[in-house]
Amino acid sequence: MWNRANKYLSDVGYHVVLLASALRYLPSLPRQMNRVGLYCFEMGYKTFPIVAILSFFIGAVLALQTGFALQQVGAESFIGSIVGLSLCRELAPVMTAFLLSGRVGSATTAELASMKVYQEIDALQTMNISPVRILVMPRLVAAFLITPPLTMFSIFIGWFGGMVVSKFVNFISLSPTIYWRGMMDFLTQDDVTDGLIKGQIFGLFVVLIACAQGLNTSGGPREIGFSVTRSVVISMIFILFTDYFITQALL
Amino acid sequence: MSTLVSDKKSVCVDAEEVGIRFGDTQVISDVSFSVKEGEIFVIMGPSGSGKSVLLRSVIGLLKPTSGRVLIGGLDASDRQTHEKIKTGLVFQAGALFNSMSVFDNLAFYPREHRLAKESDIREKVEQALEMLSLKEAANKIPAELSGGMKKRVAIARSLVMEPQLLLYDEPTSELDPTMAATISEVIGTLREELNVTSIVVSHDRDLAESISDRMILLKRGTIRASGTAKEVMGSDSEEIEEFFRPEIDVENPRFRR
Repeated sequence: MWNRANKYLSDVGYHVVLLASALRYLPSLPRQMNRVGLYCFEMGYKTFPIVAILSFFIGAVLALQTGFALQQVGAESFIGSIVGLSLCRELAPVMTAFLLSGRVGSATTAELASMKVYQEIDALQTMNISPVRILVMPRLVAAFLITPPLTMFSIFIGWFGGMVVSKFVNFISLSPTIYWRGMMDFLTQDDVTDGLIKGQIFGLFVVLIACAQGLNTSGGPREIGFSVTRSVVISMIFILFTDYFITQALL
Repeated sequence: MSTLVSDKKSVCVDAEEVGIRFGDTQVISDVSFSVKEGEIFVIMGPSGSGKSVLLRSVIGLLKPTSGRVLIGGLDASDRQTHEKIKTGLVFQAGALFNSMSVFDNLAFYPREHRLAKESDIREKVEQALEMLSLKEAANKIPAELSGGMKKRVAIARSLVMEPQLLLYDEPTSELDPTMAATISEVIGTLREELNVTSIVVSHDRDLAESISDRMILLKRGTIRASGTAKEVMGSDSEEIEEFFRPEIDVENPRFRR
């Protein structure tokens, strides 16, 4: 029991130290803009299509479920507000972070774990090149920059999915004008901003966890797979766990 | 050739009563040796004797549990020492950057540290490639190379760093005899032409005999013999045979259920 608690605390400590080390290397950012650009491209471009598909169907299902319940009491006009608020305050940031964890986090962990196992990280250290400076810090900056646009994109596509279902499903048949008006009546700028902040925090920590798990890999090639699984599981638990507290703080 | 010669002098290395422990296992016990400037020093021993662990403490990747290693009088476990004294390590498996071409692997160190203009870096890399007969492999990625070529690329990458101290971890392991002879020739040539201090970790007796100025024999983390190759190998051939005999009986192996 004590050993597990000790291990847990040392893991948390490792993540904190890694974040602090990465922040220490921020002054070298101007020299590393190429790497940041590359990681932004990888995170954004590769996650973009899957975010679009998922967000569309989340918005569509949300509209379908709420539409079915609300049409029984004649309150279909509220579908837009429910879909709008749910997506931008909660579903879009959480789902984007989940996708980032599965798509980018797992690839990052696999790459860094493989570099660790095959001694590439050791080689960097013998060259007096900090792995944190060239492998972790640019990725964190890229995650910080790319998560808000990804989340925003997810919100828009989700809203659009909700609108399509509201218009074309027979038992709802809500005109797009009423759908958008209902949404705009209830939605404030703060709702969108809060969602983007939440997405940015999740994205940053998903990448931090992925880097930490990769760099903390030891042993043989089998460990690479274990590290990837651990990275995704820890990220998802982290997202759901901190979601509550971030939401409370932003309310 | 000239641009690969460091403007700094080669350095001496002193290990003083080095002990390294992992948990309850004592891997290295009270190991002391000194390597003179420009010397080729071989650390030899069977698998699991702690050679590579000792090498990692020299390069500063591992801090000894007791004792210390000094490079040019400075503590090897202090990262700043390796900023002052250029130290290269040729890893056993090469440890090449798999996502880069051979050329970019070699150019990585000077580019990251902004040591020279891009044209000078290219010139230096081309010289290192030529020195190790790797010109045709420049645009290949490490996955496309043979074991021997990977070792040569790893040596070339260290050369571009203009090291004052060059460490080799099992440079001839997994190589056929011809390639092993080529690598040992390369190590000797580098010392002659660049006067770099070299520490070679190996369990290859032929390599040790052909290139070493002095050597130590390591078994179970302690020094069993030291001196020139002639002194160590010729002292008592039976003892040396015993030293390299596997610890399992290969004639009658027993397997635990």
